[in-house]
Amino acid sequence: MDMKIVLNDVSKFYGQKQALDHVNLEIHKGMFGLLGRNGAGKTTLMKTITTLLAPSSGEITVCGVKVKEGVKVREMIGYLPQDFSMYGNMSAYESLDYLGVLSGLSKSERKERIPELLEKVNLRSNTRTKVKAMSGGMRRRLGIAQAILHNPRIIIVDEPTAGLDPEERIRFRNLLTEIAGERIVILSTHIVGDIEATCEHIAVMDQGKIIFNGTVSQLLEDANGNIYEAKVSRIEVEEIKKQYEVTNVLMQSTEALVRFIANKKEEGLPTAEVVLPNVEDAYMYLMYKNGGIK
Amino acid sequence: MMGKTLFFKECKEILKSITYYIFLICVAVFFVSQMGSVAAVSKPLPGAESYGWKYSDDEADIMASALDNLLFELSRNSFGTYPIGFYKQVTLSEDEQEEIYEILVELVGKTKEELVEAVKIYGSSMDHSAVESIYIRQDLSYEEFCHAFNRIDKILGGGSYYRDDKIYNHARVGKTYQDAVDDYRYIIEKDHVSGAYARIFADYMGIILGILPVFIAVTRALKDRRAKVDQVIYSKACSSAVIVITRYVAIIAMTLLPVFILSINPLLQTIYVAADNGITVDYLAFLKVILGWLLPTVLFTVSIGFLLTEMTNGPLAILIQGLFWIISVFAASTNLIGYVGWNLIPRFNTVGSYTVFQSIFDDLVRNRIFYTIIAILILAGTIIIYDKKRRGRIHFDRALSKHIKG
Repeated sequence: MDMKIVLNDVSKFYGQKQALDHVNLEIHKGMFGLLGRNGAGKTTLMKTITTLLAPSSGEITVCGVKVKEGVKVREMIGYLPQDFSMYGNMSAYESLDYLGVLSGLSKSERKERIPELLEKVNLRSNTRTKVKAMSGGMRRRLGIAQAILHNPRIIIVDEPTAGLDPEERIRFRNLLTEIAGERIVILSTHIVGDIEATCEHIAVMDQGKIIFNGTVSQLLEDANGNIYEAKVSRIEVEEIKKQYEVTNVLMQSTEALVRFIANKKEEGLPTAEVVLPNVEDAYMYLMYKNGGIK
Repeated sequence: MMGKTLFFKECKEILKSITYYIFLICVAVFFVSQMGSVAAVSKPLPGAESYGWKYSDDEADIMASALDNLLFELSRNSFGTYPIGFYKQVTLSEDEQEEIYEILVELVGKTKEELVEAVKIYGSSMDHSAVESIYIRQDLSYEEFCHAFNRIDKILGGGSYYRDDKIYNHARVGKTYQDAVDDYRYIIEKDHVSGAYARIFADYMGIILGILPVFIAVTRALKDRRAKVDQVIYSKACSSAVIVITRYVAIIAMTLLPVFILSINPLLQTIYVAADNGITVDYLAFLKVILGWLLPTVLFTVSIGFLLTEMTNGPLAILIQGLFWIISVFAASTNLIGYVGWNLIPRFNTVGSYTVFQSIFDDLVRNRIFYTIIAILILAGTIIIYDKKRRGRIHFDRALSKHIKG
């Protein structure tokens, strides 16, 4: 079995609006990050892979199977949508049991898998908790449990950490890394920190196009030499923001440590020093290169 | 196997729904308030003051009664009609009244002036003797009479009791002792008591099952989207047909379950009454009407609920089915005993009248098969739409809700 997802010249239109613009992409085993601002086309891309949206043109194959063959692809995929929830009156166990039936699992398989998964996602003590009584974090964990319930080869998670508190976010990222194993895991997010912590391979989307496809190291490499840091007085910050694309500002009493994008050392800022970019800087640099940061 | 497990899970979900409990209460209240109890069936005794009434099948009776009622309505220029099942009071213009008088001249052999004068006196005095001298010509055939009254119905805008298929409503006569004995004999020998009560049970339950299941269907169809479960369910391997059909069958089963349970009450009563008459009831009589008479109504109502909700992602189906239900109920208001046609809710609001039932039986079978087929076709359409929505190939909600919201 060819463990990869291939998107060949995929476009998607919603009426006149083009959500995907001739996307070509290969996704291999391991954690794959899909980064981009809100509205960049990430969710549309995920849905076309998950068979929930038909591309307007182009072709997608999942492990050698064309997405047009809906059922075969759905059998291989576990999907956690952005706003996952379940029927409020169902308990965690009942939810997984219901979705397990829809995934074609037998009674014995469900009986064996569900307690294991609830343990894995740290919901063992919430087996009987109704979905309506769960916190956002608990629901996401339930969501990931249902996504891996039928032991799929591919897991697609859309903005899984949005709205979670820092502790829940870290726990969730660890959980994703843990379950990745021999699978293809696609993590879509607009939070750079999620990608930094979990993915080696990434693609960055903007306005329906893939504007970067490679490793995190390559993304960092591209930005190398273009990220500067300067210690300036607080009142200078606004002026710097007008002149440069600022990636970060750290206020320190009367001074501020400003990171910004520049092609070369500027004479007007003698304290500025080139620094090694972090993933956030590299992402901002990429967006800057591709038409500016909005 | 998957379908069976899903079916039971869907039934369990329905049991958790508040809509279902409201449905149960409505059905129970309607049953208790309308059905009453099974009366003792005993052979009629000769010499009773009255044996009830029946519609006369004597053409002379029908013609005389219809004419009498027409003269009365004409004297007040106020005519009751039911154009689409709703009562409508019609007032005629001078010209239209003239037309009616001209038709009457052909029927009764009097001059228009004589008729106008007599009707005028009748209208002002309410003295029936003013029109007693007006009667249908001896040489007029029943066909000619019907033809003329159909023209009158047309002038009234249609839907009146003067149309040939409804004109019998004018002539009610008292049942004779022999009529009453025949009724008794049919209830005992043909209906075995249970059949007669099963029909009136189907009549009452049909009214409520023509509307209430649509609420359960709409609630279920909207539930996925409201609970934000639709995307997850769409992404699962289970086929669209299995998902839709299991939900559909679960609603049908859970809708008919209380009806079946309620039917045990009149069945037990008929067993008692039949035993009193030394006969055995048809134990399956109520089950037969539930499956043969009521099931098609429920199939259709739930299908409409599913289809329109999948198409609109909103409760439009309740409005549409509500209108259809009102039309169906009122369309039968002129004939509650044996109204079938293509009405969703066939009526048979009487105990007994076996011969009437026999005369409409073929129509009833045709009607029930028709609604079953339509329901299945609508269900098939729902599966196709669900599948297309699941694959993101259609977005009815965007298009339709845009139009609905204006």
